Amino acid sequence: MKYTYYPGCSLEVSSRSYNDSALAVSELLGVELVELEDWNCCGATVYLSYEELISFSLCARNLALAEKYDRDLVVPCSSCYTSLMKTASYIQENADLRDKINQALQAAGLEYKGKVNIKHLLEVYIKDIGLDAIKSKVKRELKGLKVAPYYGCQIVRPLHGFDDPENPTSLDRLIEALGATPVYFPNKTSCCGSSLIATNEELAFRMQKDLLLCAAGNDAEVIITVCPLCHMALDAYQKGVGKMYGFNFKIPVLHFTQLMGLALEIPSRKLGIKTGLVPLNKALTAYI
Amino acid sequence: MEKKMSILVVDDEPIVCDSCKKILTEKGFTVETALNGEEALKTFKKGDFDIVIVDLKMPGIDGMEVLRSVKKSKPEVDVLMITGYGTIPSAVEAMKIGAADYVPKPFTPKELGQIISQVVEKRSKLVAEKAPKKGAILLDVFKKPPKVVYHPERVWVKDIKIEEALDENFLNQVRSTPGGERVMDCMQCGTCSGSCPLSYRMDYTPREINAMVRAGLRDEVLSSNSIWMCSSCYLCTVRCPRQIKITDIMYVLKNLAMKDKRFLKKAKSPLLSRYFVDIVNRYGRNHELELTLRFFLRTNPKAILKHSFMGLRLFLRKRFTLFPKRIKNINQLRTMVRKAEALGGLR
Repeated sequence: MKYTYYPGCSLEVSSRSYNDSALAVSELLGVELVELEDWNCCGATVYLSYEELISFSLCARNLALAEKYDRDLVVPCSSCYTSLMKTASYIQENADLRDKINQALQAAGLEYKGKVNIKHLLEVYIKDIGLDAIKSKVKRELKGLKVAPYYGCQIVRPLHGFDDPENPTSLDRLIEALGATPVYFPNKTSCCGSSLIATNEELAFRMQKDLLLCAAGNDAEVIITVCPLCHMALDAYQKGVGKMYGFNFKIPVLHFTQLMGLALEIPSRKLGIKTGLVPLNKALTAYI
Repeated sequence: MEKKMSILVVDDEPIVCDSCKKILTEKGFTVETALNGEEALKTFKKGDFDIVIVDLKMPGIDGMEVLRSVKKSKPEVDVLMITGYGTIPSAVEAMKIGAADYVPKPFTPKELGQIISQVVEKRSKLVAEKAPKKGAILLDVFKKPPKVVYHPERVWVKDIKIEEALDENFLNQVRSTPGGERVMDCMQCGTCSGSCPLSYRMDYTPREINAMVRAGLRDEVLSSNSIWMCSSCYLCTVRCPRQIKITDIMYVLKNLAMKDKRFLKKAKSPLLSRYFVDIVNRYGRNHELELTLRFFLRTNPKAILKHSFMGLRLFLRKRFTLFPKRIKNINQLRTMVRKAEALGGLR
């Protein structure tokens, strides 16, 4: 199966291990990811706060570029996924916005007809490839590994439709397909506060503390994420959060594609397993 | 022990004053006396009396004037009129003004005692009625305070001059933007505020923001920290029983606030947005290193040291690149951005 791939700025600049592992796992599962040529930033929450029309236009440029190919657009970052999905749906719903975006696109010699189908990478694996197919490719079952499935907010909200907005289960089922055990994790869709980390660290840390406590309290040996921003928040800031609240958190955080890669026996170097700031624990090193 | 009731006896006949004082002191009251109206009013002003017994007919300031004056300054004080045989009609008149009862002269100690007991009984009943009942304090919480004070976290006690505050165009701006269409459907149930992980730190909760947008309280909304606290997790949006896209309304409000420097004094987020916009317009993509450096240089230079240590660790793990990558067709992107700007944005 061939898809157009939109990695987004974070995967290019600060979460390269997510990009590497996503490409490696996809290749093994027969998912061909062709990078969208000359893609630009989706605007994320930050540009959208500044001026919505320009931010939507930035997304529309990506959609217009993707429309040239008759393929679904795959996005591994939840923030980019929401930005692109939101733009696509508002172009359909709001005539005034559609008109203005078309004028902006036309000025740049582009056109978007509204035909691109956007999917998150997890959605592709779960829906298009299927858990049975993934299970059949598993070479090393991650038996007994206790995994906290962290979805974050923007993969299931606002109503994207591919999983429940408050109690999603796709990641849980994927973990089971890999032979590991999803732990009880009621905070699975709580916000990680990543959009506030630069402007209000104290608030963001408080939100991350709740997440880490929930994972630690349910004996998780690893947390997996579906968004580079959630990964950064929980991995890079974990030590700082622990220091602020007096906890010695040591829970490794992996991109979900890295965990899949381990079960599919992809060499750990190719997956960038050791690039996390939280050191790996015994439970994980057993599979490397 | 309860405080003794205090009585002021006023009569121009010293013998009446003395006998009253004797009878009432024996019954457990604190008693003071005055021989004329002027002295009575002076004593009354200084002391804390519960009952005043005053002779109706006195030279100078008479009983009627004393009654009026007492009732004017302390309406809760009971006044008893002492009347001679010929002055009963005046006593009735006094009752109309507010006297509690009258004592016809001459009176026996027993008669005085009876009348005083009746007044005391009536007073204690009234006091009991006025005392807060069980649950009354709870009810008070929901009542608007009688004195209107500035209380930033509760909009309903704020001293707002509605005619000045109303900005109808504000509501229309919100309604005409994607996501803001349904703001009028809000029924103030508060599900959004209850769901929001950050409402506890907001000047106004999302529910209050909705109500304020509808009321046209433009300046209060746009200068509040609520709009910059929203972390865009969309929990309010998916839970709203009226399908109001509250997160999107927050974006509309951020956009509106961005256009006016008055609203951006305290918040740091607008500055981050500006730098981000600048970087994306220059390269077509974001570059986290430059964004973080510029932002912290301006807001908190000390934090750079802390972050650079983390940055170094990430760099050593080949997690991020030092130099920004510019897209090939940056001119196409800039043309598009300029056109969108020329269109005047969404509003």
